[in-house]
Amino acid sequence: VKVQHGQCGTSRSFAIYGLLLKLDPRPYLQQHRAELLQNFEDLEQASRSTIALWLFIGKDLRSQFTKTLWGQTAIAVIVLAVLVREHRAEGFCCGYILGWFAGWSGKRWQASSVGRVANGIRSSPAQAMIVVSVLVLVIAVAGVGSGIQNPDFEAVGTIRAQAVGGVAAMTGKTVPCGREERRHEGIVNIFCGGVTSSVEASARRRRIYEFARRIQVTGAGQLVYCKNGLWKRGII
Amino acid sequence: MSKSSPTGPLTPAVFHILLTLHGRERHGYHIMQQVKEDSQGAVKMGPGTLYGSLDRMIAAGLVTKSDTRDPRRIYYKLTALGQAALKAESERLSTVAAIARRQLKAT
Repeated sequence: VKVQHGQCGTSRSFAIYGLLLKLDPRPYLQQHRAELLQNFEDLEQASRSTIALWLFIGKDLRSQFTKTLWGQTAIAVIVLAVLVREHRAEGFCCGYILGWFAGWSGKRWQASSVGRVANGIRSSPAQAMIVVSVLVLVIAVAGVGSGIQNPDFEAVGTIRAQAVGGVAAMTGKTVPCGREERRHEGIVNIFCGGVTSSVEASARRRRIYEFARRIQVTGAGQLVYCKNGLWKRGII
Repeated sequence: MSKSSPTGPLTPAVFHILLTLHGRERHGYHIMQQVKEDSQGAVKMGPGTLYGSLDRMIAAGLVTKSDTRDPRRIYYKLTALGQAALKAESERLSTVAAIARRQLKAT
């Protein structure tokens, strides 16, 4: 069913395209939404097949998305989050700041791209942002490095094996830094003072380990762990 | 690019849009089709690319809206600065092409 000016009898493709447009910035949409929809309608009528149409539109949307502030921010955040995935908070902060900068400089580049003159990158605010971004990155990396020297326990891995009935495993035990304890089938990697230790525990509270930065076994099957800077208590 | 000095190389998209609008007002879809035809299919501009480029060209003073009565079919036309930029870019490309031809003949 072909589209009648987007008013009635709209095709499924047209409806999907209308939804995809919502990803675009609001000012851009306010200016061009009607034109974009009309354009899609024309393209749909001229297109040989729906697949060819969507290949063309997909290519266009992808190139547009990577040029937007949100698109560049998302890409930078994803890349940096992957690079520093063991340190989620730092990764997010670095990713966000660098992504923001990438988006900002991308916008400046876009604004000047008619003449292909990259004035943006040469301006004082741009250079200041580069310096700030590099500093934040260095501080974050240094923070990650210093965490290794911290004598507290850090869980850097996840449980590698299934375990059952591990509640009593840690009763009355404090796991010293760097010492390896083996009780049950589940294993938690403990990173402490530059040494990785493995501690067996129950897998039933698996999420605790995945998000824990520092863990400390206090006894009676309780695990004290640090999540987002707050110390919490859980049963293993 | 400043409004007063239409100098410097233009992107292929901007150059083709300027070329398409030379001597004639066109709406978005028409521009896309004409660019495809003029470039013999080498430049295929999607709606997002087209309107992004048009926004930047309007901001740079190269293009202006001429007929906005139907929001679905807004027509665009070149400004005097756009004409000058098109002429300057065409001359620049001719010079580059001439140099390239000379050097290719020489080798």
